[in-house]
Amino acid sequence: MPGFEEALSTLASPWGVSVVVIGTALGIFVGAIPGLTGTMLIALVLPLTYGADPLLSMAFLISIYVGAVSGGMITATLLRMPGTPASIITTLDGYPMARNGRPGRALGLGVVSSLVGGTISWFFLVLLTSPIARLSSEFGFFEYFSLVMMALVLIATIGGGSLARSLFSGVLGIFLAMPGVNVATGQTRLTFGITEMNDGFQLLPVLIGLFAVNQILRDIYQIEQTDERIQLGGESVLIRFADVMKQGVNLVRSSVIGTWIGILPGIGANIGSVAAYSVARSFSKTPDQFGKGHEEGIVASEAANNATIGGALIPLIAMGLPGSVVEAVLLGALVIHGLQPGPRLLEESPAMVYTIMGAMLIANVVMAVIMLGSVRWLARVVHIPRSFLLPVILSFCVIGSFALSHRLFDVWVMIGFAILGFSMETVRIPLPPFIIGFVLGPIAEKNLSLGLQASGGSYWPIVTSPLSLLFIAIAVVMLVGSSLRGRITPANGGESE
Amino acid sequence: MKISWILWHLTTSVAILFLVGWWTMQLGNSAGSPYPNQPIQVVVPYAAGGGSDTFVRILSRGIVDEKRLPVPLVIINQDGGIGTIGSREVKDSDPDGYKILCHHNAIITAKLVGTVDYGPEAFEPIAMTGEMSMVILVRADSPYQTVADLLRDAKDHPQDIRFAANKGAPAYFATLQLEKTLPGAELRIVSSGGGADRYAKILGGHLDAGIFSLSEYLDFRRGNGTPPDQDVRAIALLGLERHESIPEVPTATEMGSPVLLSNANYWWAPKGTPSDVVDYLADLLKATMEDETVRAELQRIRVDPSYDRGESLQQRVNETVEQFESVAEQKQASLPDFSLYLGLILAGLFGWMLLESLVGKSVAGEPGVGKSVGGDSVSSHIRMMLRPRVAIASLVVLCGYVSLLGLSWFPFAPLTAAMVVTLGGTMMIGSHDSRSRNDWLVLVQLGLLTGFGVECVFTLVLATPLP
Repeated sequence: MPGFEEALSTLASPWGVSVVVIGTALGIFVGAIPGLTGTMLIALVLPLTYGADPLLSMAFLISIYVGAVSGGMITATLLRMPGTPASIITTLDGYPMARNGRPGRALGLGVVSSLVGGTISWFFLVLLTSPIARLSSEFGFFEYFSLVMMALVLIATIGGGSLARSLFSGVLGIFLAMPGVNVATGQTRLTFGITEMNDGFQLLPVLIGLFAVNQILRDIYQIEQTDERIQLGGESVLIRFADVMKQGVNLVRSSVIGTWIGILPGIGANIGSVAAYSVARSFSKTPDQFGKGHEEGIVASEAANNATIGGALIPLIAMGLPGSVVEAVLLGALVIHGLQPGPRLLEESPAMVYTIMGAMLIANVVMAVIMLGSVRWLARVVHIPRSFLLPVILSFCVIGSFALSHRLFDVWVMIGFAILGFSMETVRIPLPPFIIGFVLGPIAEKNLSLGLQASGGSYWPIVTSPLSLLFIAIAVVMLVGSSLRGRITPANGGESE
Repeated sequence: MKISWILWHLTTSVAILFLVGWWTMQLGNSAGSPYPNQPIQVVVPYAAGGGSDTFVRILSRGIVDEKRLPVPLVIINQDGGIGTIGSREVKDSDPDGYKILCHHNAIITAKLVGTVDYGPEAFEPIAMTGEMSMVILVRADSPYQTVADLLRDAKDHPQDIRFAANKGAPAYFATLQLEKTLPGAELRIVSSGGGADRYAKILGGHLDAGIFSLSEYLDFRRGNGTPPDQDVRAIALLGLERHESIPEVPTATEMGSPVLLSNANYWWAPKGTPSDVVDYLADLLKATMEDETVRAELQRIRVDPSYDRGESLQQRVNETVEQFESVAEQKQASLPDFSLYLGLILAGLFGWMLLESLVGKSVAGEPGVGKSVGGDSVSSHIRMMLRPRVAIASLVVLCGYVSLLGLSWFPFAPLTAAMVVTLGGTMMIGSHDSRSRNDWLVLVQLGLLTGFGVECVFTLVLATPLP
């Protein structure tokens, strides 16, 4: 294989090893701090790699990516503050489990699931990259639309509790994603004449506000309660092989779902974990345990969010098609280093492709080793008094919102959404459907609008295209299935307690 | 215990001393010497890693490596709103030459489309550096051999050919111009996102033709034995002359459709910037564009190293404005107003939710306030103390902090340190238990470390300015 040896010798060199280890550690560190995300770090570090060796630079960026997606679970589990958007769903079961006195086990399960998820998706990355390059052109606008609608149905199934509240939250998410330039027409809408609104609300400040700052406000609001938090017991963080086997089906299923979601452009790790979580719950024998510290929930979320990395790299390498902001930056890194991303990357720079694949696998293992090794130490973060910890995290949230596009407007957006998130949770409107709507709504609308432009205004292709029809059918089955299930087992949410 | 405290105080004191020392030294630098005496910020109104960003970074490296500028050059990515977020930022900044914009033709189209109410006239053009040719692509097995074939078919079957050009972007205006060259020809224009996206859609037969940059074409083209339904072919170049890299592709002008479109990179300063500052920057860019290394790099990303400034630049901009204005009458998009429908659905759901909670309240008991998604099962056995006052005070502190950052009365580092101390202090006082003096000391240390440390990391390592 041409290029394979070059990739191997790069990654196996002392420089290669240290670059991957440092990158992964940095990623975990930044991923664990609420407010600072891997996306931001990669975007800011990219210019620094400018003069460095292209293969090493890419290995470094990929390692940060892997580390950051994994690191988020630490604060998600221990503080109920997802360090990165990808670990939002991990809070649902990780935090209750940690509160119930088993933080070590929660983190251990998360790390092992991340490792397995990352590795499974890595196999898909290696196997699927070239076939996908061919398949992706089969997808037209309506096919994408139907596919995204299928994912949007998750709004109805996630969050538990009242269906009305879940739907309201989801639709509100779609609605608040609408201001800004409408890509289909090039016109702005709902901006009220404010130029700052021309790009609507950015995903990053919205997520930081809804989850991190909201939780900080809540912690301040309930200050007494939060001082007596999780004690890390003597329990081992190492998970026995039997435990992994018990979760085998869940692990594989969640990893496949994560990979699949990762392949779809624009959707990303946060939705991957939501989808896997929701599917895990509907297949579970004990769906009523979800949200209360269930092992299956942690496994599904963490396996899936790491699996999205492998998935997202597939269209990036195969087509030069970035799925999210991180991938767009990685794509830019390729260009800066003199490579032409696109369908010919595989033929022309095989060494780069193998380096990306190799770095992802190694970073995954390094991630697991670092996390398992440092979890006990990291977990001490919960013993730091809130009045020390929260202001510092808050200033990171402000910087994190600001740094991506250098606008204070984004910081105000973050504060606004923190207040919105706080109010919504106070009246028991779940937040995860909001995020699904916020991320997927614009993609669905864009593809529908462009599809209508291409079809001359006809909606028929939604049902006449076989692929599109298939997705719509699956969506209907999921919707009907989940509402029937909801009626049979009413105890799938907090409402019934 | 004692030793660890001593260690903590020792390390933090050293770190704080170092950081504050570095910070004060850096403050002293910007004395009143002639322009430029502080870092020059270049705003790129697109994301890191995009085409514009790559271009600016190549030039910036040419400037920094050859030490052409006595001060640092800082690149700021302000993505969004088809470039209007970044252009507004520069337009509203002080006309002192310390914040400039690099932006292509979309600065003209944004006004014509109505995204913003200002165009090139709101800026001082500094220079045009480098442009990229544009081509019209079809799938290799397409029946269209030339742009004339395409237009003839568009006349015979109006609104039948699906043509990729993003609405409101320069390519869209060029497409309108193209239609005009053969009266009666009508294309069905589809906005379709980035280059790779459009390419996949053309390969899959979802679109029939589209405008791409030359560099995209050279990247996507496979040639040599690829089945024709898996390859693309250029049918016209939208330039004055054929391009050396694809000499076989005729220009649209040759085929009787005189449409020109290139992606030129312009540098802009806010209106009112002194002419000697503009000249300084134009000279700087000229020298950089003549650098051999820079030229080689630009060649690699297929940007032609053209350069223009002064009168002829102004004329060039004016001509482009006229060119786009001539076709500016927008065909109104006939898409349904999704935001309206969604608003109605939202209102309906709100009603349902309200109804449900009214009905639900009479059946079940009042649920606990502040019950949250994850904490349901455990929060019940922990005595909950609610402190709305402390929470509101903290929120006020946060908002005050952000407002002060916006006013930039105080530098970032001390202000952040003050915020951390105030917020932490509010929480400490709010939580009643007596805190020792040591706790306050630690809080101050943390605040200083956060404020100055963050500024140090961002300025020194990441080369990104903070508010």
